[in-house]
Amino acid sequence: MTAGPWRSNPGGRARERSRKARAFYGAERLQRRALETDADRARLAARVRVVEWTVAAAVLILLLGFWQLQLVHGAHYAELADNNQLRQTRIRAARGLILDRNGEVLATNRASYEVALIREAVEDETAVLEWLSRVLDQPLATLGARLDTQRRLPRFMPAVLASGVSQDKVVTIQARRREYPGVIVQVGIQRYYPRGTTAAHVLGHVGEISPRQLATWGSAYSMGDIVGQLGVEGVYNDDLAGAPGSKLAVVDSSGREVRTLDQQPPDPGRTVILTLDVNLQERIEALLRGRKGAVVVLDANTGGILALASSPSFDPNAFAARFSVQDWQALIQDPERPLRNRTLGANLPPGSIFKLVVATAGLEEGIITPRTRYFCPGGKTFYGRFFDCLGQHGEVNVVQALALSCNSFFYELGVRLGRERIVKWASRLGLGNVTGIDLPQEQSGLIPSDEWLQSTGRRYYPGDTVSISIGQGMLQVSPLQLAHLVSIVATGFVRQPHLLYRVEEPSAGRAAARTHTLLARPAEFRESTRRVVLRGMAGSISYGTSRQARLQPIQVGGKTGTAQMASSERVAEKDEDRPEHLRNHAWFVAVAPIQEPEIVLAVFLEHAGGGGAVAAPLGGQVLASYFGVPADQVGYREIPIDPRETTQRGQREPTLPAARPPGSGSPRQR
Amino acid sequence: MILIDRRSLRIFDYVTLLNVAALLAIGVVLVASASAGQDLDLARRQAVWMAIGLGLALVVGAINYRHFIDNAYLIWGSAVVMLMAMLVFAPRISGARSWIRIGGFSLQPSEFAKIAVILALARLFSDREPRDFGLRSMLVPGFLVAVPALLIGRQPDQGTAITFLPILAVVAWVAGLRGKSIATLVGVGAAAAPLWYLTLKDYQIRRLTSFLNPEADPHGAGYQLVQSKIAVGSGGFAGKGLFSGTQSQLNFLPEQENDFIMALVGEELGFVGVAIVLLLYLTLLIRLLRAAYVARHRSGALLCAGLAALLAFQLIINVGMVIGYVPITGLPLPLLSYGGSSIMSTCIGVGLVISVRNRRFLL
Repeated sequence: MTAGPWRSNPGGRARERSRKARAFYGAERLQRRALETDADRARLAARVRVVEWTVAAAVLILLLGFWQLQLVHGAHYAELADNNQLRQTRIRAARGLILDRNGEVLATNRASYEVALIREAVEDETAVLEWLSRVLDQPLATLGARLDTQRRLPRFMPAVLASGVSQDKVVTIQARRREYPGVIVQVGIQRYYPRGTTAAHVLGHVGEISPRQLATWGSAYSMGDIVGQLGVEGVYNDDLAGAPGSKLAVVDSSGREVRTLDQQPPDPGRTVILTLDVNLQERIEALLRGRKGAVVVLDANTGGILALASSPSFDPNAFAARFSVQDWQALIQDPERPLRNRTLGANLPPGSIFKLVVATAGLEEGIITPRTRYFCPGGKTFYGRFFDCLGQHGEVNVVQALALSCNSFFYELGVRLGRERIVKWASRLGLGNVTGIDLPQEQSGLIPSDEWLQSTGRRYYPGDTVSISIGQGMLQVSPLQLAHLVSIVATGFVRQPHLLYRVEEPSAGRAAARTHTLLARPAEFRESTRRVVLRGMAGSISYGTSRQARLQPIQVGGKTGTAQMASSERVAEKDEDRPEHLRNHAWFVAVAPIQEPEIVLAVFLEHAGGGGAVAAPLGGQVLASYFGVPADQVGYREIPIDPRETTQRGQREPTLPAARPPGSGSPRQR
Repeated sequence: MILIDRRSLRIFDYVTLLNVAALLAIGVVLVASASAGQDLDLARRQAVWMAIGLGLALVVGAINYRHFIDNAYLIWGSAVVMLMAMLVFAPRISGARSWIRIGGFSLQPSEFAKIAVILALARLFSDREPRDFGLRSMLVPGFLVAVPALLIGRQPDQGTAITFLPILAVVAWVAGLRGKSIATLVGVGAAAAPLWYLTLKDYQIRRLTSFLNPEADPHGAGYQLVQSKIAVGSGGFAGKGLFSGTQSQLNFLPEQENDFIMALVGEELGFVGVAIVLLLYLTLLIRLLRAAYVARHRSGALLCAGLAALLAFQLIINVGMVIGYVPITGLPLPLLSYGGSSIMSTCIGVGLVISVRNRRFLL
């Protein structure tokens, strides 16, 4: 039978030609390839024989090598093996400290009791596990699973089943040491967060290295290592982890260590110092307790994070002791989502805070000057639809419009600017992109840019511009982005928000391994624009929607926002009457002191109501806490108003001096 | 299309197959011993590989090897494409992009690339006039070898990349490269070695040089070698017996089911075991080379020489490493070490040689 390549292939001219060619060349080639002549064959055989002898010689040399090792020096090595077996083990490095800007300890290590099993000494594994399950009060399946992951360890090595075991349980276990000889209690290092839930979202937590991390981080780590997960623990893991040491020990034939030959101590991890002020953070978290929301406080002059609080929070210490499956399930299935860092999650409409962007755009693009006035009759009709304003503000300029959060003014200005110019300025002020803070899982949010509209295929109607002018519709931001935005607007500089202050070597006089490089560039707007917007924010505090955040004697600039969550049909209902998930989000941003900005803050309260009513008072408390002002100095008291200055609703106000407030406004204003 | 005639089964070279089977069986037992006390999963897998490998050798041996020679360039091209794809798509597993997962198994395409290169070289040299040739004729063969070798070196897997050099050297020598040219090549290679040394990473240099004085660095790169020598040396004449080597059973010996499996032979089976294993390898290699004498065609002869070169080189380097004669490289011991890809590619190669032998009387 002939096979494929040689089979003749009748039919088709091309095939016929190729058959002929193959018959011709193929035959010749076959001739050439065959070992026809004896001379060819002899020469080839001679050369193969050289290879043969070389191989044989090499194998002989190897055999002699074994002869020498096993028979000549056999006794020597046998002695080494019998009496002096060497074993190399890893010594885990102590994880570096995390400190706040004042040196307060945020994360450290402490000794903890670990219960471990030496399989070699156990006869009935199931019985021992059942007993431990009862003593430790942990499900049998959990202990079994933990043992299974460590089955590749040699049988004489302890497999850790539980850590962070309490003293009384340790006593119980040790009391029955004779009955269960394979169960030992050892002291291990455990990560400890002395302030519990404080700054949990900033710090992240530690946990056993996952197979995926092991694959990507490579050879410096090994299975079972405790590494940082999320937060600062995760981002600066390479600094915090240190390098494991090793121990070369002589062990007897049962694997027990007899003496240590050589020991390389581990390099402890570096100390990571954050810009955070943990006392401020703690006070803010106290203010947030029982609510859902977030507060970001930035150092206006550096971009350093002073406080980054997200509520509800969790206790990272729970992760340090090996976590049970149930605890984990409970934490991720909690409807309040305590693990979510609300300061970085950017699925929130900014509400009226966005008016800062529109005002800046209007001034810079030359659509308005500080003197330009628009009339507010309590709402306006665009493209056949009525867009309302929560007050009837009459003729207002940009400073008053910001202070009173007048929608009509910004509808008008936004429509004249158009989507593209609004998007351009939103982007310049840091929206629609991550700020680049040194924390994982920051979201970029959304602005209706050309790219976004193209990639999602969303239709954009002219009416959408009216909505985004007051921060509703196709806009999504994070609390951090808004704090960043306010810092740009208030200082005229774009500064990178960051948490790292510096990294220090653990010993040797705390030499700085590296210090965070401050990144700052001038913002792309004029000084005059900055001053006008700041006057608007000052007005908001002194006579506008942010009065609840007023703080004597510090001069504060603020802006409130209320992000509507309800669709248009339900707007008519009162906010408090709606189901919780449809209630408004409350926003408040501030800068203080306004002449020489020191801090910038953003307050976000999830489904809590109006910004002026809910978020601003909390913002005022944060400011009071930072400046050390008594809390009762926050807010404003009704002062009898001079009747000459009161205005009727809807009444035209022909002129208003920019420096003076246009009356107290209606109490319904945001 | 590919037919197995009864005649080829009757004259089938069962002796070589038995030789391979003996080595594979020893490997399964050793892997079981290496992982004793943990689980027998590795040994069970190795047994499956053994069965698959022998089956492959049987099937490939019954097919006319000239089908493979005729498609050699196509096979070479597919191997190169595969290696390129590895650099882009393969996941990093312990630092190298050498493995892909198919079903539940990890495969190492570089193992199969070796066979592809041997086929391509056999085809190339057999197409040429059988007479002495010089260095200029080495350009194309050099290219055929350099491309996959560089691709594998990039994974990075320098150990496997280097195995291509002895293949090229032996096939070219058997095909008729002038002795003078070989001397020149060796000279150039010796001169280039320092340059190559400069491109190595620190840890690679440490691995390469620590065999000269392993006791100087018993923590790091020297640790494996110290442990390996203790294991082998303490085995003595008759060994400590299977499943009772203290070095290996107490896990002192890293990689004992892989690259250091020969140390396990030394410890548990002693000098006797080592001698038996080495003799089995020697008879296998001699049989592979003898197939080159009787081959009907030059391509067959070169194929046998190439495969023998590959196996001999891996044997010498791996076994030499265990007793500290050569630097520690990540080369497995063919047929004995744990791992499916190496076993399968070696068995395919042996099958090809069997096919060459079977067809010594046929045109």
